[in-house]
Amino acid sequence: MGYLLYLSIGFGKSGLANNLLILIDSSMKNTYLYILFQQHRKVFCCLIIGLVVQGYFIYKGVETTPFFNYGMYSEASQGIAVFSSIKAYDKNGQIIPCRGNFSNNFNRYQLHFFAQLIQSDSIDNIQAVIERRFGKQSPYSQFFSKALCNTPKDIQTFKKWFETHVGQDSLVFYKENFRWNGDQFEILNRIAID
Amino acid sequence: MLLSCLYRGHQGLLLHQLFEAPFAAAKSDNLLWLYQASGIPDFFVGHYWAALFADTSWLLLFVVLIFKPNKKYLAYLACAVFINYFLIFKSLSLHHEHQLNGLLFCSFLLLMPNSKSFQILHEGLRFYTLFVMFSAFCWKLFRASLWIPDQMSTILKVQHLDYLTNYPDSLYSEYLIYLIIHPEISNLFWVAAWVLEAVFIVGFFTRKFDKWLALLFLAFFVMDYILMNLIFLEFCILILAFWSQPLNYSQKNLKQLNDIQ
Repeated sequence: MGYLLYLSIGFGKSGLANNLLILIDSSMKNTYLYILFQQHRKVFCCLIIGLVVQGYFIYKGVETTPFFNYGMYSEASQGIAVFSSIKAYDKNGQIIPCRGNFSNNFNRYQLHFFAQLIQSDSIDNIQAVIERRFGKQSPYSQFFSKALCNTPKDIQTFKKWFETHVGQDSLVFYKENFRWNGDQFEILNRIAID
Repeated sequence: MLLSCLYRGHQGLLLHQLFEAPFAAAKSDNLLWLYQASGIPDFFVGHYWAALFADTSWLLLFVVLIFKPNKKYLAYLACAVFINYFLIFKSLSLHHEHQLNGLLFCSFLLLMPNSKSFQILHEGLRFYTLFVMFSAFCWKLFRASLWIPDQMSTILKVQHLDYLTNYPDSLYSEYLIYLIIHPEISNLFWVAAWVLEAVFIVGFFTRKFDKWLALLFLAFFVMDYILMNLIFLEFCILILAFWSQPLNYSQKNLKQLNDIQ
């Protein structure tokens, strides 16, 4: 490895070059990859394959378990005029908390997904991804569509399930749009979701 | 692992507590696609007793493993039960959850047949933890969000929209609003976060600062909770990776390890 570097950087056989190569060579020998390569060749190969796959998924900007991408909140956020929130209210008009702990965060994602499905006329976004990957008419598309797509029946059962999950009944769902007016959020409109 | 199970039970997020959850979203995750297509998630979500059995197994297996850590078949079973939960919950949560990733990788430590393999993986987890933090910095760098002057202020608005509109008069809301209307201050947190993430590159070259990196790792997620209300409690198990032993086997070390085995 050191020799390759020696060739690539085009050093002559000076004392400085030799010392540098010895230094690189000795420090390389203490690295995790080098030790794996020397002593655990199979683990080394698995690791290299893993690194290549991880690199591929980073390049594609998607993730596949266990090759995760940690790019949360890295998207540029600016110029958002309207902020949308999906809220659930009980029969007394009290809001169902959707932030603060695991459980509430989970509920929040459920509500947002429900609203998104309603908004897209009960067509799951994953359908487009399946068709992009396998084409519209392929048997794979049909198989994965059946396995992965949420259906209008799922949407119909959501309300009942959510009420049971949060231990409330007669919930109503709203999409509320807000704008930031300088020092607080100001409601623009409120649309019932059902 | 055990604490995670208990905490998730307390939060109502175990499989039997999500019985008949109508929605699942595998997003673009190929493994989740295959798992979803296998029908296993639907089976557990659709059968209360199967889900309860899986949850109870998670709890009991890890209790037993505390007392019988050398029973490898129990470790394999426990990991299988946990990975099953991991994959199903990832679909049911309808969101790319990263909280359980640390536990997922650490669970493989239980499967290592000897101390040498354990050491290799433990050291590997240290590099993974460094990768997690440093890659988060790189994402911000390459997406250029680092240079947007009111980035943090906007993130806070989006992140806390529900809270700010539900409880506008609370003390926490006042604190958030202060940060939102003072983007120069909130951006200090943003810059501090990416500097902190960038610092983890040091760990790839030396282990001298591992204790400091561990502290920074913890500080990052404490601030994540205070500022963003993100709970990465389970993910913080990766902090233990900074206590891994280096792999630079001299012949003497190799002999010692072989003697142990």
